[in-house]
Amino acid sequence: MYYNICNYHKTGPCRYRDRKGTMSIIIEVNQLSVHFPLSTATVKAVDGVDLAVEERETLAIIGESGSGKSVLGTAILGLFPPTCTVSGTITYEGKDLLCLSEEQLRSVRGLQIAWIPQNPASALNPSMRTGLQVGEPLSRQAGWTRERIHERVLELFAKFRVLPPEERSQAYPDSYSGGMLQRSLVAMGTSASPKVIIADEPTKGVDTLNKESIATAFREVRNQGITLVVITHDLDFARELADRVVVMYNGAVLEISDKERFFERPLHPYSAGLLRSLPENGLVPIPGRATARDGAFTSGCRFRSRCPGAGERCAEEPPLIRARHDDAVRCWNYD
Amino acid sequence: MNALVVNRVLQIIPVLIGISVITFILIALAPGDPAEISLRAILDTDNPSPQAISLMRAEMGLDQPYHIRYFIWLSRVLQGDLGYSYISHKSTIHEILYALPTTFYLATLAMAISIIVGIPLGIAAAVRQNGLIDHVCRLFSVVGNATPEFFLAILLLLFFSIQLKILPVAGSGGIQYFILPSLVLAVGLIAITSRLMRTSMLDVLEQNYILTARSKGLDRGTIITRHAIKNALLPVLTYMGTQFGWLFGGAVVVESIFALPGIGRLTVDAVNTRDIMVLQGCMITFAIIFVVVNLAVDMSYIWLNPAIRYDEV
Ligand SMILES: Nc1ncnc2c1ncn2[C@@H]1O[C@H](COP(=O)(O)OP(=O)(O)OP(=O)(O)O)[C@@H](O)[C@H]1O
Ligand SMILES: [Mg+2]
Repeated sequence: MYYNICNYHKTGPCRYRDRKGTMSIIIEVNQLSVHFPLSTATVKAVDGVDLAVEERETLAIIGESGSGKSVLGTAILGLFPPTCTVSGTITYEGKDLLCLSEEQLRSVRGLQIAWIPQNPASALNPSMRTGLQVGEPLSRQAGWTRERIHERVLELFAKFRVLPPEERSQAYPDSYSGGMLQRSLVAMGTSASPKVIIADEPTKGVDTLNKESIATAFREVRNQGITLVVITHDLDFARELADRVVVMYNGAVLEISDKERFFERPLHPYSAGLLRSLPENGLVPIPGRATARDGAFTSGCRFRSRCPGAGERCAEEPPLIRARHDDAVRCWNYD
Repeated sequence: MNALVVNRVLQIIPVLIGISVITFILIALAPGDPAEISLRAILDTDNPSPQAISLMRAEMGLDQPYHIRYFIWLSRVLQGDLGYSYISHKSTIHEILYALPTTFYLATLAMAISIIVGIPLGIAAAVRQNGLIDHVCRLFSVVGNATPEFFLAILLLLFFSIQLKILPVAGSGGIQYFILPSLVLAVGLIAITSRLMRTSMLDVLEQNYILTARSKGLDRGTIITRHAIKNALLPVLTYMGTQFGWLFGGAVVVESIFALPGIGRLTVDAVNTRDIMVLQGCMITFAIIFVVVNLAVDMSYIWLNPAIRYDEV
């Protein structure tokens, strides 16, 4: 249950940063850790993540299931499952979101930073008309009457091709097809014209044709100048949409690269493995399996046990190392 | 969907036949000679004469074998004839139709009280999980479930009728005669309803769409009223619907204590005087109410739940 904000175990006092000179960075995640202490082991869903999202860019976060993408995404909205412990900072417009009160966080959510949830089928209230839910972020802003919101929803539905808009807005989510539901979630995310949208797996379980329509919807969002963080399994979708790619593994960022360079020559052995597992590159799977879920990972490089080039140095965890231009990688090969 | 409804309606027939057979067997197995027991009530004597008893046995058809008696009764029922009371000599249908509104009123009032008290209690308990209301609610549900109706009835009578003298002890008339009985009936249901509503709310609050609502920056109150309650209500109301028939069962005890002339009391009287035809009529009435209530609940569930509706087409 996402109800109670969890007990923050802060590393130190709240840090308000002077962001002079780095005005183009809209969200900065610093040493963020979200851990779940279970009876057997602590699941380190997010473990020391550093990440800077630039204004107006589209950032794709890729990584296999359980690597902590969703936990990271919801953390940026200040939403945490109960029972977790949080440390680090998430800075948005000079404020650490983790230091804000629930009240202050609410004024960020939906209006400044919007969320497009994973799993559209369960992400909408089954007993509320879809149009109302899509327009809900607006209802919190002054001057938005019911009629005005409804008009805006119809515009959004037309724009994201949830057709026919009037009929669709009156319908309940269960009568929607998967692609249409996902597009109305995009409409919902954009409805209050936020600065940042975080989209979680927008193409999961969607066929090729619908995927194209979702990509179009996201291009539309990007063209409005909205900063996009797209969490995805789908490398093709990332290639189509992103400016930069972040690779997550077992709760940590292994690589941050420019999109072109990433698909041309990935830095991390894990990234290379991911690209090799694409169908056009021969569907070669990465041997072994990720260890975050059972808490088996303890120290050193997280990818060590599966890495073809692992050496002695890898017993120590590498830091994020700048390898080329602004691209960074967590691997000793680039030291 | 139509096939589903028809199927569901047809299932009623074997259920009713089964219930009528069981009732018949139970009455046949009950100790004592029904003719003799009836006569004691009719003649107001402890020792009716043997001639009177054998005449009565003939009138009640007790000289026939069991299976013949059942089929005679069944064929009459199918013609819409439930027989008559050996005591009052009125037709069974008349007796039942006279008693039903009282019980119906009692059960509806109890249901209304349970909804009005139980649902908000459950919501409050879920919203402040492990808070004061939650603990009070938990205690209440344990005590409410464990207290027998007759005991609660006596406590309430002692307090409101004997001590405070603000409500009548027993009898029938205006709504004041229904307050204590419906309260007694409602307590058990409130206990269950509030727990159920709490569980259902907690379940809903864990759903993905609640996280979505939070991500939109809605405040907790809006999330609970706009997104949680309606979804949490559906299974609870469905359950409560099925309990409507159960309230009729509870009416047997409560009506006897408070001397309300409903079908529960009619049944008890019929048992005591072995007024067989009335007793069978009451049993069939209970069965029909149960079955119809359940059917209505199922139908409303299908109707309210689009997922089921589409699947079954
Ligand atoms: N409420 C929770 N309680 C305990 N563990 C959790 C909870 N939520 C997430 N986790 C764990 O955190 C890890 C990361 O989960 P997360 O949902 O972020 O993965 P993901 O990268 O989004 O995966 P997917 O691609 O399947 O959505 C997983 O190991 C998961 O089991
Ligand atoms: Mg996820």
